[in-house]
Amino acid sequence: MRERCRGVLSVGVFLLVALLLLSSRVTQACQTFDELGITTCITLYSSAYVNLPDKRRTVFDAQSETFYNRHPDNLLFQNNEALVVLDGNPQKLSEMIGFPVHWHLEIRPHYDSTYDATGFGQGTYHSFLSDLATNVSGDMQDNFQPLFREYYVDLHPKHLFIRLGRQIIAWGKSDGVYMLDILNNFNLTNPQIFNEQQIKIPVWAANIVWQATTNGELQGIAIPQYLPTYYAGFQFKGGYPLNGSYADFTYGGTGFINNELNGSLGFKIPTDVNNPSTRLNNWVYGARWSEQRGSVHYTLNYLYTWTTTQIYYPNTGTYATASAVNLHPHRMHVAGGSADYEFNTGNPWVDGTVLRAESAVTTGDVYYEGNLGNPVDVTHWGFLGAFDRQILGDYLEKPIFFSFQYWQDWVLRRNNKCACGGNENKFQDVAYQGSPAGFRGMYKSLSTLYMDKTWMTADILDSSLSVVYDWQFQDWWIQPHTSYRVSDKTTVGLGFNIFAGSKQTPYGEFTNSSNVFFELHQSLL
Amino acid sequence: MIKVGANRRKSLALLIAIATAVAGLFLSIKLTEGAAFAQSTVQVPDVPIVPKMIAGKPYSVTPGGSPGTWTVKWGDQSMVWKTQPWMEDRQQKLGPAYIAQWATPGLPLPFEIPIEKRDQLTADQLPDRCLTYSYYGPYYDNGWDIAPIVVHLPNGSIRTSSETLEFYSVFTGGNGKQYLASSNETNVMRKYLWELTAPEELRGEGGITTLFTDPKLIPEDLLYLPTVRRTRRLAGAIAKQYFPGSIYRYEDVSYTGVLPQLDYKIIGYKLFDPSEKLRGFNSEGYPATAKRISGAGDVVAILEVTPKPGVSWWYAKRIEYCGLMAMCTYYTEEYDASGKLIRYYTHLPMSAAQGNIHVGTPTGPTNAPNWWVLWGAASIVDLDGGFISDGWIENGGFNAKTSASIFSPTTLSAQPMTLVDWLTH
Repeated sequence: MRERCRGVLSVGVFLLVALLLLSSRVTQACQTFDELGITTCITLYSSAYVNLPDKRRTVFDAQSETFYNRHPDNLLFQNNEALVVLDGNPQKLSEMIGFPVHWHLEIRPHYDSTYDATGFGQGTYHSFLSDLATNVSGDMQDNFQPLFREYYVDLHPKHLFIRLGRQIIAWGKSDGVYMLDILNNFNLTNPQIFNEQQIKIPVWAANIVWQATTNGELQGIAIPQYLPTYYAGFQFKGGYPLNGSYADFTYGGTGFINNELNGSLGFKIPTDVNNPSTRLNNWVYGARWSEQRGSVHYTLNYLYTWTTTQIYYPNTGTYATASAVNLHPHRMHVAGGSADYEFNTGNPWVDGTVLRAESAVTTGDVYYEGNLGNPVDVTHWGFLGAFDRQILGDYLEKPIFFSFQYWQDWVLRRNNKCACGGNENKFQDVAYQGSPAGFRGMYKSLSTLYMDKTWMTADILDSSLSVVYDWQFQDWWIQPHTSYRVSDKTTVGLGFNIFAGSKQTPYGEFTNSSNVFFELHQSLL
Repeated sequence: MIKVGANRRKSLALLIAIATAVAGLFLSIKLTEGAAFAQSTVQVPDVPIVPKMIAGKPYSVTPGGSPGTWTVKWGDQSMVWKTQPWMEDRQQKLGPAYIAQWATPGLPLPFEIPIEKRDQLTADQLPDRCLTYSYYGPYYDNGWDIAPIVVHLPNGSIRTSSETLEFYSVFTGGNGKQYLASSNETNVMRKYLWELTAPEELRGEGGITTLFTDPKLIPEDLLYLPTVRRTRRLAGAIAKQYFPGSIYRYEDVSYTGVLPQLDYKIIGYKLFDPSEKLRGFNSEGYPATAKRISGAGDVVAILEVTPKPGVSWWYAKRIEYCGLMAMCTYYTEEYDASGKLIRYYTHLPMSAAQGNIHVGTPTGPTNAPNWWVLWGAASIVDLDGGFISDGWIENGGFNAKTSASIFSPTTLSAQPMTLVDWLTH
């Protein structure tokens, strides 16, 4: 009860901040200084996620090397950030060099107040989790949650578009499923955020688009520095991970391996991290051809990259005898494509329906196989089919946007042999915590459903429902969400994340972290 | 161990080297601006010649009894035409004869039909000729603008204010072919590119619409969402629905031609004498700089639009007033099944003589032929809900020297913030 009260108190603080922001008086969105050719925008964003179930959590204490139960408190996530965007068009420079130049700078100072209430629940781990800077090096902080988030220069020579600098590059035509769209990995401190530009980690890149034909473009990409997906609970210091399952959205599999490294097997396992250097042979290279042919828009993609996460390699080749673990990514090739098509046949029952598809063969990816979970190099094939349509347009003033996706992933072959300790052909999924219930097979599939409807004049009220269902694990993630544009400067949001399923399933593992969340966007300039 | 700091410096050095090489490679390519436009061979007189007959009846314009007034007569109908401060300066000076310039023989589509034969246009031809081609002229390569759109609450206060960059090209007049991939795209009527720069919540959203010559084909829409940095194919919009974020309907903005769900019938002609109380035909809601063209004094075809039997539509009847001289839909009224007026729409275009309409670039010369028009200003008055929307061109122009690939997702994903930057794509 004490913890729940404090959770409510935290929401009260959020609402107070919200009221203060709402009371601010502003005049216009973004400010353009014509004489300088610069446009500036400043936005504040604040969100709070509050736990709905009142459960205790089992965590592992790295000091005493024992498991114990603890109340995780009710405030799952509270983040406050400002986004300052500067865009410039230096006209004189453009004229001097002979083609247009544009620059962009995005600064995002943030303050994560999730763990600020110390001494109870997650606050107990305040020193571990309060700020990345306290438990990882400054370099890593800058990589995963950079203050200077995106900064690049755009050059527009004839038939070319060149973007140089730290940036986000999106590929593919799927929503929330990432086969081709793996140029930017994610900061998964809170994996429930749909706004990808908030949680994708910008990469340094040379991004060159050659407009080869009126309808066709060839894109070439070079990324010199590898930045892996960041998981809460994935932090290392002195050769050991600092946390197991302390954070609310640490995947079970991450917590499980962290616990083992920290001593849950009866001994600690030293760990070393080796990220690729920025030598040319370690860069990520990609190419994409995109074109419109008739009513079909398609892309052909190739990416020579690294696994999206660092892989835990046992020093002896098998966890049966490992005395140390080395973390580094593995090289992989991704080849695939995407396409969309809209029916336009004259038949009103099908016209306006958009079909989307995306597919990729990935070789060199690494899955953890069998009971031992030794890493195996695999080739797998992913395919997504989807359709989108506006529905109930004859009955509603504003129709409902309906989107359904089906995704499946087959492991086509294992490229090295695995001494797996049993359960061969089964791979430890993200929620694996030691029992067969956490395995996926050679085949895995899931579906997503998304519906959106706007309300009121000028669409100032928006409601949506997102559903994810994993067909093998039979678990769910359901997110109803609504946002209301109070004014052109202020938007408030309310939503729920409801998880259902068993403990070792990708979404079911967060059943006890089902939550209600509040959001506030306030534009200051 | 991680050697990130040193590696980043190396990366930076390499990227700078690439940038330098690229810059050097293209140093010889000069940014070109200019007053290039397809010069019409037709000379429109400074004082346009007023037609003597329109729709089979005599038409005349004579000076009125007081300065700034004229008497316009068409058949047995007449009106007193008054100069208004919100009219384009040239219209204030020339009076109702101003719109007679679009009756000059030899002008291209949609003015190529002699004025004495324009009443022979069929009901199915009028929507494109009077609205589509008035919004998007087929006689220039491309048109572009930056346009504020303001939605007012019933109490008059502003509910939302947005700003849109627009770029478009129409191919039916033989222009803009560089924007089409090949000759097999003869079914494409026009392309339209837009991006929101305000409000902040929607900034960066943009899209590309491709419209087809066959009215049965649903326009193709691409939508760029900055939250995911991706361009998505949008499921087919429904013509009768609201255009996102506004109180315009798709029917007012994109689906401006004949729709297969509706019946069209010309029910008469009249001398257009709009009330000064109509939004757009007075100073309310628009800045003083938004000088525009009044269709007052034109002879309009009255077009009745009704849903086909069995079709559910947002109105039971629509009346459109299509000016035969300026080939422009100036005004529409929408009625419900009980005959109650539920909404009206006004449209006042802007011409190259307006002052804020440039050639080539947003700061280019303002020397396009005076008769070239952009969509100008449009208002919606929702008489049921009390909401009012006003949109107008703040700065616009013709024939920007853009890349032939401007109608591409790359333009959208670059998220330019200004017209200058946008038109360089």
